[in-house]
Amino acid sequence: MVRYVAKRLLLAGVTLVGITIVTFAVTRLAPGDPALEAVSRGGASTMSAEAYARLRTYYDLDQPLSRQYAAWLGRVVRLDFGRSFHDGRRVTDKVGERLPATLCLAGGAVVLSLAFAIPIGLASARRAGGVFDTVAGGVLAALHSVPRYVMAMLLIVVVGVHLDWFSPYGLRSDSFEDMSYPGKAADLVRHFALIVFCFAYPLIAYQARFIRGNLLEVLGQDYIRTARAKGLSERAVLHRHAFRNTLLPLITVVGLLVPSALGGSVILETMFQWPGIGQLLFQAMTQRDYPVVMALTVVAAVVVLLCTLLADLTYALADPRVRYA
Amino acid sequence: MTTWTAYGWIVTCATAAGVWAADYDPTRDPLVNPASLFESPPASADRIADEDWIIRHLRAEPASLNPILTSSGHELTVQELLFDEPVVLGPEFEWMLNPAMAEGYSEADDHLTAELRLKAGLRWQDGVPLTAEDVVFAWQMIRSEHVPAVRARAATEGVVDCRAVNPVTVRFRFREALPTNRWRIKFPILPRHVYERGLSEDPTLSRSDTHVEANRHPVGNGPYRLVDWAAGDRIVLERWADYAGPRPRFARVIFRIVPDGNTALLMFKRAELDEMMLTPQQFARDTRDDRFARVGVKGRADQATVYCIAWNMDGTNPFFGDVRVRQGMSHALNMPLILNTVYDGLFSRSRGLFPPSSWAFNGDIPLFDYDPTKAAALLDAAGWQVDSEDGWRYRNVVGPDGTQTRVKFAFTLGFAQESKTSPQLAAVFQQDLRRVGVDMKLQALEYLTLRGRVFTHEFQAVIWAWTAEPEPDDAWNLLHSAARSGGRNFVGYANPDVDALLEQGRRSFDPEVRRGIYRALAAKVYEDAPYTFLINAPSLWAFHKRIRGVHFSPMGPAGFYPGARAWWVPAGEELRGTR
Amino acid sequence: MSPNRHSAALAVRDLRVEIRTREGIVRPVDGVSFDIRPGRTLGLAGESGCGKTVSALALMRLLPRGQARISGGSVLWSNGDGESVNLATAAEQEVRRLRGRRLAMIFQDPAAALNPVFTVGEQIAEVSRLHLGLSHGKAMRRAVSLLSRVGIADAARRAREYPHQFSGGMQQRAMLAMALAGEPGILIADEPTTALDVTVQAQIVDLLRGLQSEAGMGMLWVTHDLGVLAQVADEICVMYAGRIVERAGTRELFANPLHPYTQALLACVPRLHRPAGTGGIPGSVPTPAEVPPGCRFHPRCALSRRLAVELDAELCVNTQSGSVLRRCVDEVPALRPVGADHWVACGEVAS
Ligand SMILES: Nc1ncnc2c1ncn2[C@@H]1O[C@H](COP(=O)(O)OP(=O)(O)OP(=O)(O)O)[C@@H](O)[C@H]1O
Ligand code: SF4
Ligand SMILES: [Mg+2]
Repeated sequence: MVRYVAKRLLLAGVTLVGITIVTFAVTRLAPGDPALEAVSRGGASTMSAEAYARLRTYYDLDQPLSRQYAAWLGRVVRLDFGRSFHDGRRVTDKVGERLPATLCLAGGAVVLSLAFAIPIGLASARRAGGVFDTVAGGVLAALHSVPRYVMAMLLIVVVGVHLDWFSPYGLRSDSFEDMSYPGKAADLVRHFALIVFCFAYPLIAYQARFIRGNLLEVLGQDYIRTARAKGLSERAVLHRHAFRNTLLPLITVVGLLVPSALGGSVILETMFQWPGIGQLLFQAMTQRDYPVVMALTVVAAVVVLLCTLLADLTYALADPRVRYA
Repeated sequence: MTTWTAYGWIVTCATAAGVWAADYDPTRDPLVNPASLFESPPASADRIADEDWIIRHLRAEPASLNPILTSSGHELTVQELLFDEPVVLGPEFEWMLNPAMAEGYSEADDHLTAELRLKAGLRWQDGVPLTAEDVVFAWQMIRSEHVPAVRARAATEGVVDCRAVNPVTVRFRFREALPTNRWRIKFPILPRHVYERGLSEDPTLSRSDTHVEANRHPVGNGPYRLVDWAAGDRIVLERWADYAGPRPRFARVIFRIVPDGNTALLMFKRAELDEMMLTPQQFARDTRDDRFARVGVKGRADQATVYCIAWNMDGTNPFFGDVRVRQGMSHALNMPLILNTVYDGLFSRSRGLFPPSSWAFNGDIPLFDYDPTKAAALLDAAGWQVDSEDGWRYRNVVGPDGTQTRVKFAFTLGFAQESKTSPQLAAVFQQDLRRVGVDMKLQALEYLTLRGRVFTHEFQAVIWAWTAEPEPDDAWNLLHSAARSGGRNFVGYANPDVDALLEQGRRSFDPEVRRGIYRALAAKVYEDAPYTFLINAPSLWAFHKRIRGVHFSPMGPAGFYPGARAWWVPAGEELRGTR
Repeated sequence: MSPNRHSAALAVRDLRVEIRTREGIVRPVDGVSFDIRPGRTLGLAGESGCGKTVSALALMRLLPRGQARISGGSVLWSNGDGESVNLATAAEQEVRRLRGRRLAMIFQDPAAALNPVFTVGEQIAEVSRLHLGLSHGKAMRRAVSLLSRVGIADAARRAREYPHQFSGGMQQRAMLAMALAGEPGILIADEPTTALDVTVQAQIVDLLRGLQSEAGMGMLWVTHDLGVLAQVADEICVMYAGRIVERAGTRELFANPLHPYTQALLACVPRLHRPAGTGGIPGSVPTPAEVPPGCRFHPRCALSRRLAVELDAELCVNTQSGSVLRRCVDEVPALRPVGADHWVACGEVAS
């Protein structure tokens, strides 16, 4: 077990370095640089070759690429991600202040999607091929095929702007500070609902199908017959004996879905004015803010690698067969 | 990018369902420029709301609120409410002293020194007195080798010395005696007591925690102070009760950071924004539903932004060195059609280098008419003959080694892919040129990439734009042959007559003489066509209908004095913050 | 504890099972009758695929839902008090009340029959909680005592372990503990030792015998191994292709096997003085989709073939598997008494 984890971690480390090299090269070789961005921002009067050269030196862009990368890596192993080219703030601060918003989103989406997917999956498996199974399967498949940004736009325009049931933009209202506690809670719900749903609905479809398929497989197992032979009700058989066995693969799947859900956050956060790391990445790319782009790449890669590793480990830890192997 | 295209498309469909205006006439839109928007405040203060909040649109997150480091429009929007400067831009782009801060300005007879007198008793928002030393400190920082003060540094070029004579008097010394010198002392000021701390460790003013914190939560001297900055979300300012100038009209100013224009418009319709800049498309089409009419009105005015096509004449291509070719291009462009279709009738045709708002504007310049025949004749004269076989134009070009090669008139026009109008304009122009036998290819580039290409002269022709500075001497940097390296003369333009006019213009102290020189310059440049001037972009804005007192300067409704400070809401019409 | 535990009985009459398959509806159990008597062990023997498991599952109404159903006959459960339920037709709820409580079942492959994600103790305790209404703590303590009763040392610790930590024999012991937890009057054991090592098999056989006599349960012992039944069964039914072909007391059956199939089966049982029949019975059990007409055993029947050689040609018929008696192909032999408590389904033996 320890050897397995060590091997996985080593492999993850090598992958991580590889990813950073590629990202480093791609971002730096893409046209435009932060000095150009800064010099362009001020409009016509500021655009001079002299100003541009000064800024390139300011940002250390006149060094060879390999040296820039080595310097970066040297700092990162000491957990120093440097300062943003854009505003001089520590990259760790910039990422850190936005992580909670995105994590709330990912966490909310996972909880919400499971809250729907588990009952739907259970009900579908209970009468596989029945009316509910067919209708739910069809509806979910249809939902799943709607691209996130289309769904987001529809929800924003119809539910947010026209019906005004929810607030599609940002985390809270401008008058949040002056609200009572229930008022604040309601305000948060009004702001979270749409974006969390947009994150969650493809997960619902995926997870519900996954749960259903897995349950059907488990229901054919001998130990289910044993459970029935004990005199347990169908409900107890399904919810206790069968579901417990689908939970483990489900953990793995959720673990693997979270990173892909985060991938969607770049577009969704921008559309919903959500101050999370997806929005930050979008801004950093357009501003050629290399240190932030690199840090977010590392964060994303670490999240993916960790989720995969954790999914494997949870699986191992949750499944007694693997745990004691 | 396809995502965003589709996104925009859905927004259009969803908000403007069925409202397709082939010909939009802003003068007949009742929501445009209603008298209420421009209404002056009543004399009696109790008829003006005192506790309302205004929520303003920021299209990007400021990098910093340190006024000498900022350069983007969206940063200035916030910063101008936090910091007062002694010299400001007036409503019509005139140089003026800030009545809340400065008492006088005088130049010596030789125009090589000047004195600026501040009001006595000024204070920073933390209570520390504001003196001439703060002005001097700011100047030193701006000129420092280490500080990345791009805009402020360019603005103070030519000031060679700045020192405090006494706590309220600053003396400047200039390199040359120029009529434009007084513009050179229009620069922001900094609280010396705040920034001096940690200067030895961080001479850049932007790379230590102390300075970054100071840049993010600045101690200002303006009508508002910053109370909250939630990254990626909003910046909240509150009225500074001890402000020396007129009482700020809003109890709070909240800036919401909304990079996407479609999102911003939807937020406006939800009354989550009180003002925003509109695109032509939004102005003409997406604001015609009753959701918009319920909350907002629109303002439209001329703006000093010039759109043109820049022709690269630095010798790297065989086409645009010849004035006849450039003129031919200008005649081939179907401007009437473009004004109507591409710009929805919202934009007015450019009449050259200076916008109508400038005192140097020349309205008598004869414009290039749309005339393919004339265009063809000019191209013929320049040696570009139509090949009877394929219909394209060709010319024999002598290479550096003396050999002749037959070159086809084929070039690439670059433009910003983010632009809503440039792709359409380019497409129309492509058809126009095909008609006269010129093969133009189109290249959409990310804005920053396009800028980079222009910067390094790696282009043949681009659709380009700039906002004209108040002082026409700014054209020196754009057109003088000496500005080909280090300046903004990216097209490699060199014309001795133009050089001479530019030199004369910057030396004369007689405004009438200068006006004459710049009028002549504008005419000369228009005719010589290093740029084919297209349009002057208008300011297009949406305001919540309760907002009054708006004035459009050549730069839009804010960014000048008093600008946004003059906006007000009638008592009883408060929307927010009435507690 | 339950007063009439010693008098529970199960009377199976003309049991028929239909299964829907891709080839159509098949009847792997086709008119089976037998009795499980109080305190006695009935052995159900037969080669693989002859329908033993399907019969056993049908008794518990555990046939795969939606696929298989009891299409005829009755399964009458009764206790000494005159309470009786026909399990073939009773409502699902009624059946659930009896399952695990009045009738329990253990399976062939204990490794697969135990749920891998619950501890052994939890799985055993579940039965007492469900049927005896015990609290979680009480049920767990009872599970521990049941585990020691089935011969598991250090039961308290073992109860907290997961099935995969148990050896095969211990898993079967755990299954047994689970079956005993409801204090059933009837225990159905489907090949309880087949998946186990030979030495372990003997231990489990001993254990089951001991427990059965101790608890006085009526028991159905399903196996293809007549050797085991010789040790445990009071009475044996031999099954072939969905039917009972011979029924007799254990001693009688081994002393006097009458049906040609039984004889062939016995020839395969290893004895001390004789190795196991080489290669078993020629041919194989027909699948329920292709049961032969007449006597289902006729394609493999040595007696019929031998008689066909001896008798007149007009009494015979040529089949794929050689010449057999016409009667064996034309007539379905019924199970008929041939002696005291000895029944055979073979026209030739009866006559
Ligand atoms: N669910 C099912 N679907 C189709 N056929 C089935 C099903 N269950 C059993 N059968 C068939 O019914 C017949 C009897 O099967 P059963 O499992 O009762 O045999 P068995 O006597 O228990 O054999 P074994 O010794 O292999 O356990 C077999 O031919 C089998 O293929
Ligand atoms: S009936 Fe015929 S085939 Fe069947 S067992 Fe008897 S002799 Fe053999
Ligand atoms: Mg079986």
